Amino acid sequence: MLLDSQIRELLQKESTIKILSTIDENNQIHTVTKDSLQIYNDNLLYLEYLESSTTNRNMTFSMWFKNSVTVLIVAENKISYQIKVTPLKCIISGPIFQNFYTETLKKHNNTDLAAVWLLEPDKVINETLSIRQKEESIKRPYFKHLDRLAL
Amino acid sequence: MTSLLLQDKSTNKYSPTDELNTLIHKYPQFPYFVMLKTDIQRRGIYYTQAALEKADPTIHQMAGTHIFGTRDGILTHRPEAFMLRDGTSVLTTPTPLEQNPYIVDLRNDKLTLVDGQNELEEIEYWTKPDFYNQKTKSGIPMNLIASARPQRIYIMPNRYCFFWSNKQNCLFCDIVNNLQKQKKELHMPTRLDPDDVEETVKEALKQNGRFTAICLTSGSDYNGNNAFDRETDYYIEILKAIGKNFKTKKFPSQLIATAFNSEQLGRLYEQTGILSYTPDIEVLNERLFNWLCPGKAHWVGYKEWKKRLKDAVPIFGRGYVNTCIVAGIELAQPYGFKDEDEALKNVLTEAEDLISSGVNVVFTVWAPRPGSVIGNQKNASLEYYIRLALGLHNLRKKYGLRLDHDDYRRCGNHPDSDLARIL
Repeated sequence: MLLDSQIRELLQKESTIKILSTIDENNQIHTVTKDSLQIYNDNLLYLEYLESSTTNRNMTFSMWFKNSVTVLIVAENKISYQIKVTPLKCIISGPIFQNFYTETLKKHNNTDLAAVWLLEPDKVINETLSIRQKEESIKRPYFKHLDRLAL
Repeated sequence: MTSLLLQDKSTNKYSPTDELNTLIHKYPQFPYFVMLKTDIQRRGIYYTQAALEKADPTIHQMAGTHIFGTRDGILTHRPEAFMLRDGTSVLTTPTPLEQNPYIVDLRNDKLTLVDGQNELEEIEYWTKPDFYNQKTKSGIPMNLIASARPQRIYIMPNRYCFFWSNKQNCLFCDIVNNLQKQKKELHMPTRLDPDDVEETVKEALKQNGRFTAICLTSGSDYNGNNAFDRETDYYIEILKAIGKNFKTKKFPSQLIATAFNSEQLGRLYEQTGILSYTPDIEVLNERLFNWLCPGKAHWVGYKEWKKRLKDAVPIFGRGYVNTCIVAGIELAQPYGFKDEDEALKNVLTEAEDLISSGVNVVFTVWAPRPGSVIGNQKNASLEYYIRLALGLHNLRKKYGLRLDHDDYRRCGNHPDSDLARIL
């Protein structure tokens, strides 16, 4: 199980910023916030509200041609995680879709639902600066300005 | 019994998965899911007993009410279609095992698409809409009034095609033969009452999040003061009845009908909520149109059909008029093309003429059905369909033509329009 309890907790918090990055057929990066990103069993899920959105198009492209998709979550206390994911399923009808559709209408008046995207996590990287600094100083001791070591 | 049949199949020398793999590498710009769907529609499908037992008529949408028949001639008791995990719909024509179809079987309690010994993908049957459980006030089961694609209400107001009366039916079509079966086995009404249609649509709309569009299609009816006046008037009547269920005058809707003249089309657009128009030309070649579609050739004609398509663009808008071809019939013998390259060149040249004028062209994979005149012939190679889909997709890209009303979600029966998801 790649998504541990801390990540699950962060994803549940409304204050956590949730970002989704995709790439198109010309390798252009497209980055947007997706408040609907959430845990779904051992996977991630997000709700796509716009059929014609660039993200929706890029997600289809990624699923078809195995392009990478990245999720970034940033908490209030600057803790952040990058999660590399693979689009697993695009749900456009059926009971799961209809449940999320009803929930969407309740939460956001006048908002339609185009698709429910299921994302399978492949790799989790703790991107919190203090953690990355510690790692670098242990693994790459050469990467340092000398004045920081001076007496 | 089922596993024995699968074992027998595995000894067959023909190895379709190798063909699929070769084409995946040859056309890396073509999505695997759409390639798979295309090949399933090309070769047909066979549901094993275990897979059929997994189809629950209280949950899943079963076959029988579609306007066309199947390749094995059996009407009911099988799932109508299934979905792949990228959201691609696959409408299926159950096919005898001897014809080497793909197989849906139960593996580890999961519905699995199988080819030879290869388990290809997990699939899901389409779910049945709630209105299928209801009857109209007149006592007709609502699933005989309308059927469903995952996101579209599909209404066939008149299942009889008058071209059959004069033996001028399209040679690939089995609509009237299928209707006779449907009347006998399901008590399917030939012609719908507008009140029943209004009531059924009202019921369907109660299911939140289920439908995004309405589609109407029927057999051709050349009767009236001017040819097809009666068909036009009947569609207007039906569309007005449907429109009573909406707050807005216009609603997402598609009419698959005969190519009407400007006066008929003007009345249709002005008096109803219709938003898109699809008169199917079936084949993009005048000589073959005259042979394969004698009724359409006699009552409208090939050049006039194309003219009417283009004339409809100012009314509905660029991209909201399209026409479908039954891809593969241009290779039917004895009069069809002998060579796939030549056929493809002809189709794409004719398609460009239409697409450059704002008329979309889509295709369905020809499924030779026993109830049709040329039902004993074979359709084209998978590579032909891949090249055709790519060709049409590239033309849409070149001319900046969208295809919102007949896409993967509204229709789901055109491999080329599935590609429009990434346009």
